[in-house]
Amino acid sequence: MTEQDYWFARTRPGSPRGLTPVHGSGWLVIAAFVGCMLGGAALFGYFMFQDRVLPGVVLYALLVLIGAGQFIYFTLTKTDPTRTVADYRAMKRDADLHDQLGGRR
Amino acid sequence: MRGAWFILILVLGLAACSQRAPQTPTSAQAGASLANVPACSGQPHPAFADNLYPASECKLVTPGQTFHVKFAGAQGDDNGVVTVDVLLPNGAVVQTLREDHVSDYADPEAVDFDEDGYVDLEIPLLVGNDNRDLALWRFDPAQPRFVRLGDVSGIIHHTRDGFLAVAGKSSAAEWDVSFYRIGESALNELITVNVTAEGDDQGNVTRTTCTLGRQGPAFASLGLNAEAARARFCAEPAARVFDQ
Repeated sequence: MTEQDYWFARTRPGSPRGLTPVHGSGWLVIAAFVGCMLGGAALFGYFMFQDRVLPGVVLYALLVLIGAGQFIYFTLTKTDPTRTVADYRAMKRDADLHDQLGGRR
Repeated sequence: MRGAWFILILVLGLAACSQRAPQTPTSAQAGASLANVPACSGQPHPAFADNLYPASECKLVTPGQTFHVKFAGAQGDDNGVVTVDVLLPNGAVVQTLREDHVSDYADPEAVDFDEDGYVDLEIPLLVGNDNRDLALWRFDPAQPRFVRLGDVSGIIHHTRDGFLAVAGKSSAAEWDVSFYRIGESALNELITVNVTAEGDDQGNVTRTTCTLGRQGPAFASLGLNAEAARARFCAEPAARVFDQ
């Protein structure tokens, strides 16, 4: 069991008021969210210029649902409930020190 | 003349070497320094959300260690800072634990929550009517030092299998009970069960329902299917929150 089973961690202890990615997959989730928003806006603009409002609105809403849905799903299921970002940084410092001292894993 | 300089340097050198090195505190000194520090009572301190809270301190004494707890002056939502100096019987500070973003002050408790024979520390971060946010510091005898396992929100129980159960009240009729396996440096999340109650007009509980909630990364190691997990964890005393 490793800490990398989680993709996000809370910025502060207690309530989940802020989440920060602690794994590459977490950053990918955020990139997908931003991508869906930008892609939806671009498609909306593209269809509006062609006076095709309905497909523009439908595609925009679909991409917003996909982007927001995957973001909410992964933050609910892949957030570490007990450790904060500071705990992850402390673990990384310990691991780096371990490596610098020539430790074996 | 050269001989005089030599003698002068020699005398100065001998004087420097004869100066006493700083001493570590003796038990008497440590006892004297903590003599006026009150013992931790385990009770919450006055809220500091709106009022300026002056710095304070207390001590926890266990058979092997003494903990010097310091609460920093604080005002605001979660601006409190708690530090705990871990002292050996001779008074030497071997480790300092620190918790930032503390919302309420309450005295830490020295308990062996992993039941390995060594005292661990629970440092309160937030004190609610039903739930408490606690930072869990486990004593790792291999290092030997305290390691922060993480923080949990709720009431801590132990299961027959040695798991840690944390019952958090979501509403008047709903509790989330999370189960963890205590690792060396982290809490390994197993599963959360949701317990809800239905009642009559007089407020009596007539029916409770226990369902499986979020599964943690360590759940797979149990080798249980969903129905077996529900039967096992819903039967735990920690999950029978409305029977108490």
